[in-house]
Amino acid sequence: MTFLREPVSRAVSEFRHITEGLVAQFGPHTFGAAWDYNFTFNPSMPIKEKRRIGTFANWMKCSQCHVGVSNRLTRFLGSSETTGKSLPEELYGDLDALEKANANMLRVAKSRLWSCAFIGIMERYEDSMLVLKHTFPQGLKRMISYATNPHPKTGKGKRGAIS
Amino acid sequence: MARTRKKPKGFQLRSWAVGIAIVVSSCVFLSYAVYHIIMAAEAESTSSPLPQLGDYTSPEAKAAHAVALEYAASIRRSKNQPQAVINADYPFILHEDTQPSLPGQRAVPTESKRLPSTSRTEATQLSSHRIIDNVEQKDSSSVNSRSPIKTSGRGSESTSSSALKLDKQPPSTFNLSNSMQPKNPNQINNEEDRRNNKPDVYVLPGATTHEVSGQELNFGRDDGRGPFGTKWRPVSDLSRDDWVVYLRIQKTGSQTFWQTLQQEFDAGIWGRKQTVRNCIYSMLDVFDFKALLQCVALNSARKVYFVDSSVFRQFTIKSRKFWNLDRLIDLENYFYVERMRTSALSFSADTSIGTITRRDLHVHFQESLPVCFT
Repeated sequence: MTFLREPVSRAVSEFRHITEGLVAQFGPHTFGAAWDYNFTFNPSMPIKEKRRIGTFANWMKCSQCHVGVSNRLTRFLGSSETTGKSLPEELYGDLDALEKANANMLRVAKSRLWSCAFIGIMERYEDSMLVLKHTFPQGLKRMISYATNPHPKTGKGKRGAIS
Repeated sequence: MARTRKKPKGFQLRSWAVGIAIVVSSCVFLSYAVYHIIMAAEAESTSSPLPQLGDYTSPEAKAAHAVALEYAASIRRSKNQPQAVINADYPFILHEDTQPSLPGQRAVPTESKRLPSTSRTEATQLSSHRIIDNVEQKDSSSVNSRSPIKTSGRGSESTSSSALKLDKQPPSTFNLSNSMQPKNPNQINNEEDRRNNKPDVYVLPGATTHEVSGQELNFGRDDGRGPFGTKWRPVSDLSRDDWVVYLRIQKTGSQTFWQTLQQEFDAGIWGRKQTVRNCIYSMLDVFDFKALLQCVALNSARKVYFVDSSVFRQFTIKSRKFWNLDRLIDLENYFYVERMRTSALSFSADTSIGTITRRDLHVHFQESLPVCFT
């Protein structure tokens, strides 16, 4: 089973997470330190400077960040790597190779969705939880609610009822 | 009298020592507290408030969303520019020659990224295990013959596990076919030849090398349940031999979903509910490799636990080992091996973590293992 999300919203969320989200959780030095690429991570750089260069537009253009900016869902589904990698340097700029590689990965990702008993959609979280409950009637028969992950800064989470 | 005079001296010395110790420890404690107060204040004052999970309608998220869409639209307009790179999933075209020079990044001009053709050919040869025949050219019978998965029943066992030992060389299907083998660099005379020697499909590291059929991935389910117009059905017949695997994709509400599974899923059919909960919680709370191995070892007999490899990646942030991935890879290797072994897909029972390399895992993963299944 897996959970999907509209790609632009997902990318925006990732950007916010690896910048201010990490700062709130782990401190200013972690601004831009994503788990599988480096956006602006540099312990000696002041946080103000990191914020100045760590814009959304720069994130979309940064070469290392491609794995987070685009096709992340497909990469997870279509590859055994949890995050995926870009093409090797010798194939940079090779339009044909990248197109074919991506097309292949997308095809595999779609194929793999077949094997999922449950696919949730972030934009319809409550409905997804209901479907989840009905997908596993045995394991989730007592499930009546779910709690959102506590916010890293406020520590507050929301509780949603499943009706 | 002499005794009464000596006692105060010793007592005085001890008092001084205790006093100094108290002062030093107080200083250390105070400086530690002040440091944390300053850091907290700085984070508080400089960071903007974040929306709650799922609050993608917040003004900030909407603004960022608009920037992203505008960016996509602008690059769509310049679609025919020669040095653009197109992503198939989402129509972003990222211009390599407009890379910003951010700290820690290399801004390499597009032209310099192209290797001379002979170098490219050599590189292709070196990484030939990653390069496959054109997927369009493969026939389904060859897929089936490669796959060790039986689809005849739930919990099916591997029919050819011996053929997939770890020490085995990558299967020939991972090499270029004869017709696509790069020629000797000395024989490449012109640009046309060089272009013809490129592989038809470069498979991204770790990606599956063949299009996996629905039947192959269904693990014996014949109800055709799937997302593309087929019928949804509940999984009402989970047995103790089944796994429930959640493929977690970051920033899709995955943490909430993950926690919901931990808290709500009744793992009674596998023995006891604690099995799932304790295992995952211990992984989340403590970056303890031994504990994780024990957890996996204990539970693999029951095939009980939810596995989420991205949790491991979070540890690297938590433990502030940002770019040292060795330990992480060890964990992931073990995870993959256990997953494959206990689901009887490809590894023999006596496989030990010490004998496995990442490349082996890729090979085996490419060969047969689906990402998510129940």
